[in-house]
Amino acid sequence: MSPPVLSVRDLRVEFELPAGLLPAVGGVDLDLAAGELLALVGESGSGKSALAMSLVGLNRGPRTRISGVVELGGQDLVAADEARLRRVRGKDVAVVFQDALAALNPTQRVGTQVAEMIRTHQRVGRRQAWQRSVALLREVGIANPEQRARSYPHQLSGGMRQRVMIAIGLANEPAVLIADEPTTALDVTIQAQVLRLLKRLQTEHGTAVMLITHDLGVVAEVADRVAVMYAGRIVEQGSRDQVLFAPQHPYTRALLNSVPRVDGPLHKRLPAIAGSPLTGVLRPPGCAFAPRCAFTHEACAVSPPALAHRYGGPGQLDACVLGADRAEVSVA
Amino acid sequence: MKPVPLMQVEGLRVDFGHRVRAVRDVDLEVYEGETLGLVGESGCGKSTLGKAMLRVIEPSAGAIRYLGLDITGLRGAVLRRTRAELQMVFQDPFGSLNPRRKVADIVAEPLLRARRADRATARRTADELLDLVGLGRSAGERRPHEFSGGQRQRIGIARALAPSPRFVVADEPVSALDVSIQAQIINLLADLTRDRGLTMLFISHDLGVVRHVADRVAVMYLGRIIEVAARDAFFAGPAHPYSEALLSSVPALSPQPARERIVVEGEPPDPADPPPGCAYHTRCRYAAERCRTEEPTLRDIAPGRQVRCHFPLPTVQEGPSS
Repeated sequence: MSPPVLSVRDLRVEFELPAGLLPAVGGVDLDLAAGELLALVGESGSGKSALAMSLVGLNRGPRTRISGVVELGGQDLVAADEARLRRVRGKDVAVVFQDALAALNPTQRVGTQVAEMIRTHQRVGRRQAWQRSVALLREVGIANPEQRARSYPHQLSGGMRQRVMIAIGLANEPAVLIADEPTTALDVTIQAQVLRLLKRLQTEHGTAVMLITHDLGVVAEVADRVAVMYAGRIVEQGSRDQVLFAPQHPYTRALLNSVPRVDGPLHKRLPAIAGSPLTGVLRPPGCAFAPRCAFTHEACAVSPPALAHRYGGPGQLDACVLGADRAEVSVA
Repeated sequence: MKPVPLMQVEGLRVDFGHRVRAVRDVDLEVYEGETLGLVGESGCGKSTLGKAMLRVIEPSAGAIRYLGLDITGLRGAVLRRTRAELQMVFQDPFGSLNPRRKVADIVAEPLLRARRADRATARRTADELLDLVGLGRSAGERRPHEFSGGQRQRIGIARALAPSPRFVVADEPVSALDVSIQAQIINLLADLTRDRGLTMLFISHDLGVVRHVADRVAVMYLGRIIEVAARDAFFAGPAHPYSEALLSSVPALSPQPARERIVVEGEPPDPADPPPGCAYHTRCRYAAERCRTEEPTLRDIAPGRQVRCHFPLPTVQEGPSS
């Protein structure tokens, strides 16, 4: 694996709520290698978006506590001031959100918005920036980009707006693209088009992509590596094939089993996971998944298991203390 | 002999204003005890069709027959009694429950209104239903905000079941839920339809969910039904090119990296300005000259299988039962 472009160590994000301190991200270590597509998977409230937003300080505020280290090109973004973060965002790290309509300026032509992103970080003239903007819109698959560049966001479809967001993200050829549920609001035929685009940009430009999603089918489709989050922590991490097809953590297994698929065997009943995820301020001292887990042991209630290499393949990490015992139980 | 459909829609049309025809000349049957999955992308009219079948939205033309009786002209007490038999489960468990009311009152309300039950009976039924959907009787004393998304959807289901309906339209009932919770609700709906002999129209954009819930599948595109088939036959090989593309677009959770995928180019046309001929020809990879000029009708191509296409794809007659 090539050296990481982005390196996260013991990242914690806590929100101050009236009910107490919500540990949205509870100590995450993660590396994003140059040119890879890492999928960060989890259900709502798992902390995947809070983690991604905190990488570039997008969720800073008086009631948010962020600690740990996010290293990018020799600088720590957690310690960086707002002015420095502004230089990083859009230039070194770009973010694409789920809701493109909310992220775009409704009063400005989309071509202008792409051009402004270029001019914010590079010394180029208006005309040249506009030409680059049109070229970028063409690159992300927008037909008639010369005309479309003059459109306002509301005149474009959801899929087209998401392409514009990706064009803005790519404007300064960032090393890292963070895409937070970029296809969740899109129809499945349009989603297929946007995923194909993301994958092409990753391979052609060598952009490292962190794709945040709840959709395991999407992960199987485009990811090189996968990290699974549960209740603010990474519970499993490894290559696409390791995590999706030889999962170690009981949560990963249960999650994969509960997906209603269009192919494969048809279950009489879907193997659901009982209970619901932990999203409140109160967390048990042990493994957060234990209350829903089919293989619990006394050790699970003691302390949160560390993410470590246990019985998985090379480089595969999991946070389950049961290890081999669990493997035997689950085979039986 | 074909059984009599519980719900039958004939020539149903729903217009929004003068320009947009959301639902166009839909003929559809739902048979007693079955779950019919209605699939399609946003804006195809599937939700509007489901609401029109219950007269939540008034149709512009056509007939809706419940047990043979056209309900489009019903008014007053007859309509109220009939409505009790026809209920709806909504997508948004957050928006569809009154936050100020106790859960027991929310569930009991349709019984009081539609069935004119007395308070004590309604309350007893509500408690039983809350138990049935897995929330427990004590849930009745609490308010919606105290529950998670999956639990709220259980409340919505209990409310729909309160007047003992025979037909339920479930409009994207699991789309807002996480996958681990989604599976719980899918299983609950399967149990309830089986145990109570419910007939259901299950509207969803998610083909994986539909495969696990439906007995038959109907696909909509731009306001029209373009294919109807038995579940296994449909997933073994769709007959309409749009169904094929839709199925092929679903990201597959399979070890083989991105299988041979049919990526549909372009976007659905504006429903206010549909193309001439077949509505799908602008995106269809098989489109021929005839498709650009002549609109296909929904026709039988095999027993229990209809398709609206001049050149349907070859299909397996009997889907593999799995």
